[in-house]
Amino acid sequence: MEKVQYIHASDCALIVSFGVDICETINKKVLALLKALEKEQVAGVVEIVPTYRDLCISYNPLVQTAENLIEVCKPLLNNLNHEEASEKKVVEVPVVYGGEYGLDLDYLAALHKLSPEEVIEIHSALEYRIYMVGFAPGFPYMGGLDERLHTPRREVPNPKVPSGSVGIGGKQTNVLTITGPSGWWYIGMTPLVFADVEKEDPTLFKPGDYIKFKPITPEEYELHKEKVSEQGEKQ
Amino acid sequence: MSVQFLKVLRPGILSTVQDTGRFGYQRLGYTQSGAMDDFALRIGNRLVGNPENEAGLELTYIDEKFLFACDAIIAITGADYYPEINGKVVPMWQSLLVKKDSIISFPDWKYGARAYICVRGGLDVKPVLNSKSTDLKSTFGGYMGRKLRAGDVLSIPGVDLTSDYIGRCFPEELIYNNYRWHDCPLSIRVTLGPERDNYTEKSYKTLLESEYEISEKLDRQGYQLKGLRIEHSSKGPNIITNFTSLGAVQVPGAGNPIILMKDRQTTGGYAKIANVISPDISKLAQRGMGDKILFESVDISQTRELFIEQEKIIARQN
Repeated sequence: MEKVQYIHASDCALIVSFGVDICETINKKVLALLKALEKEQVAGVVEIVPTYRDLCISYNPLVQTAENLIEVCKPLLNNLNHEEASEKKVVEVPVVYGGEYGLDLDYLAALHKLSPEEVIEIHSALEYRIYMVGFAPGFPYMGGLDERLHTPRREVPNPKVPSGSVGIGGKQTNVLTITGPSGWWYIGMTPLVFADVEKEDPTLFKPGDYIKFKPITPEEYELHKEKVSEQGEKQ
Repeated sequence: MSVQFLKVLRPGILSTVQDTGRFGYQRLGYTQSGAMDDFALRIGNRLVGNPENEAGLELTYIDEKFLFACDAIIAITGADYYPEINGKVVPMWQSLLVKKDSIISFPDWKYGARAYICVRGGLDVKPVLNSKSTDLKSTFGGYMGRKLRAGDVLSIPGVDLTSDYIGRCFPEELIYNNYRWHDCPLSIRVTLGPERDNYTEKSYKTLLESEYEISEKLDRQGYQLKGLRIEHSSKGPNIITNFTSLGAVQVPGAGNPIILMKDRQTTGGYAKIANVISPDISKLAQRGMGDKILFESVDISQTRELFIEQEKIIARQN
């Protein structure tokens, strides 16, 4: 196993760092340590946040120290490889591609000398791993976009992209969970809501889950949207 | 049974319901939130006999006006805006009995950026994801997920006027020692890193030896600073996105440091040069635009003692 590094993030947070790359092997170790630490229920730990290659443990210095946390982590790390890989959860995300729902689809297809249908087929064929969730509630950082769709970001960001937009930027694909500026190319739109504090699971995805995009028609999209707003009214 | 407590007559620029923060959901992208100055909130709660993580009102700068809708025991802490009840200045950092139909206002600035009102029994709002704090960006928690407006009415779970909790004071010298109100520049202690490789010896020399000023770009998410530009090492300003801790000092490409506060995004991609130590966050939360600060480096091995020292001061108010 690669050597892990322990770094003080602050006077009350310790980073356990597993490597320097974005890759599945490293990210799996991050999540495995998260799981193992949760099982231990370590006193004074107030928050554990996994990211691509780091696990950050926040603690209350009155009851816990970084030195002790390192001692807690060491044996857990030695046994990580023996841990059962967690059950793979794939979340299906319905997307209407193109038209008014994905204004950049035709441009992107032309750029890569593909037809719009081919872009849709390539984009919806893979299961994308969610390496981490952050930035905003339920926002998934995904990896694994097909090379044929790698596209440099826009030189001038689009000032207002609506929430639910499915896009491509660099070597990644993503779904915007809040309306805002973005330098990505948007090829479709999903009716799903990614974060809802009223639900027992307040986000649709967790780190380590997978996303599979499923092409749907505009009619199906509108139907789904109506259902979501009806549910909202009931609450 | 819920009782109407406080009616908003004038909300000021930003009045929100905050407790000590929302924990356990940052891995799903939910921000920490909570009182910017939790020293003040925790003491306020202790003065009125609440658990210290109970929710109170955070007021930003002056000009708020409220009407009490019931008798209550309250404490006003944090920034001093010469608080008045029915036109008469009342003491801060002390638990007070207030009468129904009296009016509290915050007319004038003495010092600080955030004042707190804590009430015996705590504010009666529904906890969301285990916290009563307002998440302004995702618009949930606190009072309807937003800042207060004129006409809003806050409630408490019930009226409790136990006399044991009236007239309790927090010692003045401890308040001064915590905030150093008149220090200019204000010294802020930091630990170095975590992303030290993205900086050079020269970067650290700039950070620790020059004076910075809080710019007009400041809010509950963070404070952008003005001052000497901090250069990065050959690795540049970007890192693989990771966790952002409270008080992290990140430096984007332009070289101006930003200190991340309670409403920061849960993750970020700028390398963090240093991190403000926990006991100094409340000092910083009380400073505003134009205030000058100096960063002072402390070794990580000393920080636990400083943390415990601060906790002992808070625990003195039992």
